Amino acid sequence: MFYDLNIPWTSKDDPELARTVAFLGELGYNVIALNQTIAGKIPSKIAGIANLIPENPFPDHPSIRFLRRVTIVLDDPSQNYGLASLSNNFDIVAVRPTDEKLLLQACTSLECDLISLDLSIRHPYHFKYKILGQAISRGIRFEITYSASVNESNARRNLLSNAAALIRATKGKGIVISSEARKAMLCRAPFDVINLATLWGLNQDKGKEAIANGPRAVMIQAKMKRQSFRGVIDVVEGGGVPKSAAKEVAKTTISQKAPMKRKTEAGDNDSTVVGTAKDSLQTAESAKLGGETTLGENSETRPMKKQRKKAAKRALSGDAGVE
Amino acid sequence: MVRVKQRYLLFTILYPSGPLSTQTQSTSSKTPTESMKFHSPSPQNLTRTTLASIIRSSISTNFGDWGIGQCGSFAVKYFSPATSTGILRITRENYRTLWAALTYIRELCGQPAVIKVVRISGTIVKAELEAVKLAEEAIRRVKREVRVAKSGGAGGGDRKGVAGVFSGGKSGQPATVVDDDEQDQMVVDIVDSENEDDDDE
Repeated sequence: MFYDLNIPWTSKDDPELARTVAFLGELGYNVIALNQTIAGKIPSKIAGIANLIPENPFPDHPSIRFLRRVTIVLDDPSQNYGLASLSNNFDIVAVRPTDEKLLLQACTSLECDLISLDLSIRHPYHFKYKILGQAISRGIRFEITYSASVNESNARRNLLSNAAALIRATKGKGIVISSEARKAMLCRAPFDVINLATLWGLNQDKGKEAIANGPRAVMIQAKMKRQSFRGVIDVVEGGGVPKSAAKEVAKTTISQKAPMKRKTEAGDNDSTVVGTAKDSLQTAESAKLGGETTLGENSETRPMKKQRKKAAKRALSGDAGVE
Repeated sequence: MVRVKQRYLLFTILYPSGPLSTQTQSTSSKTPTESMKFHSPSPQNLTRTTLASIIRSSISTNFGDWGIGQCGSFAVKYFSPATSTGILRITRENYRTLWAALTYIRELCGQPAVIKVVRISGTIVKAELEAVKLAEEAIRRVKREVRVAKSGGAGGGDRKGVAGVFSGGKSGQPATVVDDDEQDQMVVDIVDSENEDDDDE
């Protein structure tokens, strides 16, 4: 799975954007984030920024998954950016600080998923691990965009020095590489990009991580921020027993009560001990919320109540241990 | 005496702006099938020697005299304009520099182009096998698409595109309509011609 987290959005009818997306699919990318950049004065109600990108902009590419991303250009340190409310409208929230003070602010306090520095220009300050490390420890990643360097030789020089400095300062951790390509001809295949990353000072493994697992972590973290309970517990659909089969399963579990019990004792840390993963997680969440544990809509599962409760408690303690 | 270790880079050239050259050659034929949209035959004037000089100039702009000194001794072992694939040979220490120079190439013969390195291998045989596999995969994709298009009602024109891709650049013949059986024949042709090319070396 390869990710390109930065394709500037123009409009749905733009042939160049459609071609870029088709070309990225041909090159072997699986997930593409369409980016909407907001610069200048931010309106007082930031949540009011409309998402111009439709839910599924290119239905004729079934193999590619599309994300919607917003990039806020930070240029006023006095302004209060309420970025948390933006994440309701967008899949990924990124910021682009324009000076050192704003970079510090972005690293330490702003609620964003990605910091995207413009590396094709010269920066009058050094990147320091003290500042960038704070962002990395909060799970925020740094973005390097390569397409400007393909296009122009001056940008290439700046990118080489800036990317090397950024990689040195972050010790190769928390880097994400994306294209920011406005034309199809500025995109490059994933392994070509990894080779470019080796030129900047990342090794092969870290280069691959910067284009495969790193962006995935950004995507998942943004999703967890948006829809999970305090970014820790999320209800995952799937792995459940179909409704018609639930009755049978309930019967068999009653008859095999003893071995099941032993199993619950054995797998103490495993959250999916008894029943389906979905059920136990749901009970775990409701227990966490302080509500009553409401188990089993249908009467067939009632005999299981005690055991389920036990399992849910175990699952909860397991989660708490992770937390 | 230690033997010199080499790396063989198998690359394909993609044309992101679509097949410009075929449009000017035969305006009657439709554009190629969806999956071959970016895989068009290379222009006629792109040969092994011109390609080598383009790559050398890219090394020189990106890596300067040091780069030319380090990896100017590469060789274009094979290049097929029909499928736009080729194999480069370079010493093992410098293949990343050459690869980066390939990545930074923006256009070939005035046409926007992207060079994608498909495989790095230590022996030329493995690179050849991969090239054959790529060509077979491409033919299979196109065939599947033509079949879908035929059942959908639209066909005919796509066939010409297929023939254009695989017969256009080889001997300079114009694109012709071929049957499925003849396409199978062509797979063998590609294999044979590659082997011949390597015997020449």
